[in-house]
Amino acid sequence: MTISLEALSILVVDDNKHMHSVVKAILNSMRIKNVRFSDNAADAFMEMRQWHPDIIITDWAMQPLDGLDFVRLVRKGADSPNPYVPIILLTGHTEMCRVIEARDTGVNEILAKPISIKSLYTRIAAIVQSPRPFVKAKNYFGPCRRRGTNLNYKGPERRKDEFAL
Amino acid sequence: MSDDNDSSRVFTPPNLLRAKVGNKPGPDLNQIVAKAEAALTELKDDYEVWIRDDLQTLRDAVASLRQEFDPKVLERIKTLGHEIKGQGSTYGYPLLTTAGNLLYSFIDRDADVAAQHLDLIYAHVDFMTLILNQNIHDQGDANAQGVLSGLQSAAEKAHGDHTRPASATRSAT
Repeated sequence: MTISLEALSILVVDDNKHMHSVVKAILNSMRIKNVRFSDNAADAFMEMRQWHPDIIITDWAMQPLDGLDFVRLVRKGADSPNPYVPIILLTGHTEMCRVIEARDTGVNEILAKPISIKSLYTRIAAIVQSPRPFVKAKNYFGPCRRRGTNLNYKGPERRKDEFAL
Repeated sequence: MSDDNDSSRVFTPPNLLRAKVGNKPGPDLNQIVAKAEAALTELKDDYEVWIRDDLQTLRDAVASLRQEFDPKVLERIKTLGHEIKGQGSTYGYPLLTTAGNLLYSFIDRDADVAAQHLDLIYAHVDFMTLILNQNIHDQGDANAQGVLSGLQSAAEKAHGDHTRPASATRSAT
């Protein structure tokens, strides 16, 4: 059984208006109607200040700031409206080095284009139902990049500490 | 990824989204997919207008490069290839996704080489136009696969000719 996602608000950032239509159609099919769009990262950042979306879906390839520049602004910018907002990166770049770069920038989820409807639902549901903890380190701030827990790990816990806000 | 280890802090922000959506069940996933596919089908006519515009932009860009080389124009062609890759399958044209990716990869691998093979770039555009004009939705279409294979071979040859040492080229010929 799925959970109802209709209460969510989502900001879509993509400089390709065709993709706005695609993402809107898919989100509406999930009954998510509270959707806004920005053509570029700067406008999206402004939109975040006024509107406070629950989740951001952003493209990677944009000008003048690309999707990862936008993620950095959101996660690390001194004036970020919400450094913790979940971010899904849409990208046609699926090479492993690109995926690692995106992960290390602080995205929660990566979704390959062309968009799979099921995959987008799954990622949004995962963000709602099983959010990952956040990590604050010298050179990283964002969702924990460890996808699983190795139950057989017997070494020391190297992280300084773990706590809830 | 060492930053997730030494001297890092791990914390769990309150899950406000879980509270916001509550426990109300949503539509079945198959229903979501069916509804989304129906909505995307309604957009298909629009898409065919958009993609034809994009293909014309590509043709104009290649014509412009033939007149005068501009790396920004070549970059624009690469970007459009990437965008076509990202949308074709969504509208039932998986071969446009494949061809868009081939075009993007050909330029991304070495723009200088691509700039010397404008005819091959144009061939990608012709192939995408053919897919659209002949309404080819089957990824396995034998004729289309034959053309794709030819484009791939030509791209490999173009890049290979430029990376092969001169002595190797001579001995191979």
